[in-house]
Amino acid sequence: MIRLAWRNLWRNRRRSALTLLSISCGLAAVMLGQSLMKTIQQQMIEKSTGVMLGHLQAQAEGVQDHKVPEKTYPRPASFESALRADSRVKEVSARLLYTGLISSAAGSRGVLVAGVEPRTEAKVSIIHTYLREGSYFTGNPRDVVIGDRLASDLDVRVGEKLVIMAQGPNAEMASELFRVAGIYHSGSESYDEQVAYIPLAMAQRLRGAEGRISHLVATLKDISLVPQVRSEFQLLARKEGAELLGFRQIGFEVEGIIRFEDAILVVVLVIIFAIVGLGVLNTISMSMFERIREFGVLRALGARPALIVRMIGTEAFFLGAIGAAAGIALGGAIIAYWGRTGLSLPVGKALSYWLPFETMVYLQPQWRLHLGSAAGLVVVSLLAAVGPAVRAARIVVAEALRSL
Amino acid sequence: MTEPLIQLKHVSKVYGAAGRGRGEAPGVTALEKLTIDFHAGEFTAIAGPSGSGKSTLLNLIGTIDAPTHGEIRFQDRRVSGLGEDELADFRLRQFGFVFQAYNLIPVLTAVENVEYPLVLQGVPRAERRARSLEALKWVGLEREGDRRPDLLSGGQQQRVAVARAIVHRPAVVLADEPTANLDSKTAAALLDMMLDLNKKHGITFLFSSHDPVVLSRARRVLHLRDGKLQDEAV
Ligand SMILES: Nc1ncnc2c1ncn2[C@@H]1O[C@H](COP(=O)(O)OP(=O)(O)OP(=O)(O)O)[C@@H](O)[C@H]1O
Ligand SMILES: [Mg+2]
Repeated sequence: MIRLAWRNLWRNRRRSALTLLSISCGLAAVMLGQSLMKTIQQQMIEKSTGVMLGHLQAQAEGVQDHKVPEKTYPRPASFESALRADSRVKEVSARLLYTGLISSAAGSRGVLVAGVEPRTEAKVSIIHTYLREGSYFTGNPRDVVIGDRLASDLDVRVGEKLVIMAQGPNAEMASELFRVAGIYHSGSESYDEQVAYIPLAMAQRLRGAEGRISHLVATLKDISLVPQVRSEFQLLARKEGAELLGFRQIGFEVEGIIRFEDAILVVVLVIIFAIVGLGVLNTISMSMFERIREFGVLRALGARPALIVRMIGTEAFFLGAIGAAAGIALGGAIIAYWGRTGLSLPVGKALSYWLPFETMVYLQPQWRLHLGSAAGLVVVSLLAAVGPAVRAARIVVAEALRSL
Repeated sequence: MTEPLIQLKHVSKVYGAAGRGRGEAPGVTALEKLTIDFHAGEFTAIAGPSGSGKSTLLNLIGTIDAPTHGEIRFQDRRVSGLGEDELADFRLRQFGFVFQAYNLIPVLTAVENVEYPLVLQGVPRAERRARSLEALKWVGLEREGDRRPDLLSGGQQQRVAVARAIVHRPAVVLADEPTANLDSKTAAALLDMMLDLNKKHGITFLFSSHDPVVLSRARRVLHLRDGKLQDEAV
């Protein structure tokens, strides 16, 4: 029976080959889409968590804008040391964020002032990896690290002076003198033009917010542990007036984009499955139509209707399985190729305003998703065969034999 | 005389009369109240002009179509009323079929075609192969076993079909115009071979034809006309 089904598959080589081609190309396209989206998503998560979000943040309770908290709160000491002591936690650092005005002899710009602790910040953020000139803080309390766009806007170089002005707690303006310690280029306009990093203590003094922070930021050794660590430490955070948030809650745009991309993937998957399903349906129906007499002969010889159903089902399974195997090979090869040489994508440009993003995307295979889609295609092929198979099984034998 | 193998009692077949709805579509009466007995070991021809009901009669006997009225008994058991699966199993055990043409499954070799009923019966591989080769030998094609049907002549294809019809030792071989697509010499040879199988191995044959050369080989001839039995020539 299996041999019969196998040989039947190759009766009309051209038709079977076309169907196999459509299944394998469909699967390869799906795999490519999955790999591309997931690779981009991974990079988005890496960059967004690396550049600002971290994996977890403890912010003041009741904060509205989680990206730049409008509320500060006293640094939660016991929560912080408990978090730091946990083996899953890589590093914890504190930040104070507020808007201010930065000026040089050449002009002024509004910026986000980020007070950071340089030693630990370097372990929770990737900004220091983009340093072009100077150093990522020298230990001088009046160091400022800025992006290259801001540096050229203000026409300053490493070692030159800048003044940062900000509003104190009672709406009075305060200003401090800084010296450019380092200049970085992340590729993201908003980071390269609109952020100035200064030591936390200086930021607190300028703001008149001694001992207060916007958030604690933590990175874990494994990003997938975020929900677990968050729920375990949430109570401790609350005791000190803080709310522990995962990067997905803070960077909700990233989360939104990921959801959107996933939804597109599902739609594409459904469309491709439908196309492939119709192709298989067409192939099977046509080959059945040509073989009605043959089914009549088999039934006359004593084949039960269920055997005919199984035979056609086996043909469809072969069609789906061979097509899926070829698709995995094709898709895997393309992904491996673009994984090595990289794929130059305009996505980087589109995202680079608010995130540093590599324009070269190195595709990574997503085998769980790929194999799921392949299995899905085999199931679709089988489903497409159900109708024709049942029809073939229900023939009146004598009538089938009359047809030629 | 022994008990008949197959009995037809007032069997009629009307095509296209399934109009159980309103109105009355008359339908084509292909067979009208036929009552016939067949015995084991017969070599019987059903003769008659085109449209006389030969195919219909053989189909009803072979249970690949059902009578509109009347009853068919096989070894004194009613066959009408069995389900599709039971009928398939019944055919597998009791009948061999040879049709006018295009009998063979084109993707299977001659010996694989012959094997098919044994595959359905679940006969082990080695035994299956041996019995199929023997059946091919009986029809004089032991050397053509590995060929696909499209590499065989029309006469050879019909011989393979005969081999397939006898390989599982059925009670009856039903052959609907087995020679219609063959030239008269090949037709005569096929008939002689069938007659030989009948004599040597006691295989029962019921076949239809309107070819006098073929009919002359038969030991019993039933003449059909407009679905009715004419005088029987023995
Ligand atoms: N499926 C069918 N539907 C309607 N009418 C049919 C059907 N099969 C046969 N008939 C009619 O029944 C009658 C008997 O047909 P049947 O095929 O049994 O004759 P036959 O003797 O085998 O003829 P031939 O020598 O041409 O094969 C004919 O009038 C034919 O048109
Ligand atoms: Mg006929």
